[in-house]
Amino acid sequence: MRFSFMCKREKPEERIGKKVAIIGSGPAGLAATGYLACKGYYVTVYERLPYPGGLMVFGIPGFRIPKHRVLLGTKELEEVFGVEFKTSSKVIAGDAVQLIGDKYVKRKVPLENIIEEHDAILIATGTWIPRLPPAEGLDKKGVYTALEYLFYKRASELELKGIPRIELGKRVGVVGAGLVAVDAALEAIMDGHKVYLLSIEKPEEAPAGSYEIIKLIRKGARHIQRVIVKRVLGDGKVKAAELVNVHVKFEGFRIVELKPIEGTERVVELDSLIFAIGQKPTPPMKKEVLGIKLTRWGGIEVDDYNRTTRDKVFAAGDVAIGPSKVGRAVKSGLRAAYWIDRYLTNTL
Amino acid sequence: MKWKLLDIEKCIGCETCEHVCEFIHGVPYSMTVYTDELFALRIACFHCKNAPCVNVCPTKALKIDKEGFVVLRYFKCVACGLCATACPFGIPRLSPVTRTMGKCHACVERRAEGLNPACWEMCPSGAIMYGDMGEILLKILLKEKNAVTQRIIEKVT
Repeated sequence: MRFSFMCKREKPEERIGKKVAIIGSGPAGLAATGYLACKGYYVTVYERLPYPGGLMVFGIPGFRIPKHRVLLGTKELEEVFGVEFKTSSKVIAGDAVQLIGDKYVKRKVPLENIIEEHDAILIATGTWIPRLPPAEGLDKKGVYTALEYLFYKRASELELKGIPRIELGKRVGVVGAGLVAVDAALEAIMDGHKVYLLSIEKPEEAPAGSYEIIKLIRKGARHIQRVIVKRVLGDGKVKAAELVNVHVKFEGFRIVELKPIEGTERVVELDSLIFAIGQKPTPPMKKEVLGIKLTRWGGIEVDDYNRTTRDKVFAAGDVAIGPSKVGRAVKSGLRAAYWIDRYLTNTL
Repeated sequence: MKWKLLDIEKCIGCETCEHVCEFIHGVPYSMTVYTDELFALRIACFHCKNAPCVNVCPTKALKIDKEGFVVLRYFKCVACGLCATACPFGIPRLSPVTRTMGKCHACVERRAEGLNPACWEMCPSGAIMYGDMGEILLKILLKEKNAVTQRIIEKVT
């Protein structure tokens, strides 16, 4: 991926002596970095993980997006355009939210310092908190989230040290029917585990699409549909999951009504459970600080020009538009970069 | 002679090409379409060698340029829509930006500046192939050869 696709592979002749900070280097952050670097701004990228790339490097499996394509793009930004990548540094405002991979954070940078030092700031921190269902016994060993599992796989591919091993055991239950669930299940199958896909949706209603679900079933996964996990059984470690059938009503892909049916409980023996039922946005702050308003669902409130409620601060990517695909995040980042350029040249 | 093709096996349906195209041109000339099974497929102009749209255009607005891509000259287009009817894939569409027909021209203005098509530059999975015809043919042949050998190995063992 050449993030600086708007210009040639050479240093911009004129430099605009203005500094922009990009917080988060996922698809949105990197697309914005490329656009602004082409325009000749001094760009600094803050990333809490050891490598830039966000979920493209630390989540999505390599057979979908090869890591080297993303990392080569960031390398070009660094070497040709002089973009400064500050990896392993987490930006916080007020109380920090603990996230997956915070083990690799070496520096903590307060957001107010960044706002003071730069002429414009783009927050593109994405969605890194996995949702969990209201089930009993989720504190047992062997209950993981898909993001945790995928992060572990990617980190071990990149040979990062110090990450706790994830032992899945023989039978793995993957809860969910989205693209993240499909990726986690595929990885588990490739590792030689027996996968049970537990979902509310039938294959034809799954957000990932029946093509992906049926491909999984052909590869050896068992699909148990119209169920939710009521309780995780076992003492200390997962031994089984108690499932219950549900009545469900859809509006598009959104579930509007969900009712468990009494008396349909059954127990499926499992060694571990992976939950992949959605993600929550993770802005650098927990609640409204520095005049940056949050939305009802935890993201950052933005207007049509990607501005937040505070001057100089913009937001883009999944943290502003909700969990989506790479493409929508890229577009959001590019649009935000366009408006930042207009803002800094006083034409907004 | 240059080619721009899509490797369907590598495409993950992330819609990046579509959104980057829309950002640059104002309208997406590359579309991501979904089947009933939600299998995503990127559809953009195939730049046919013997293009029906070029043959049918009454004002000669559509032509094949030096590098082998079908481009539309907006100042000649009268938006009659014949090309949309002639195209087997329904690629040319009315563009609200130029108020004429619009279609993928492999970023003709970017190529004039020495840049490459934006969708190819930004594709995360490397599904879009762009370059000299020979290079791409070689890539495809190598891939096909590998696949054939794989099939033979599977049959033998």
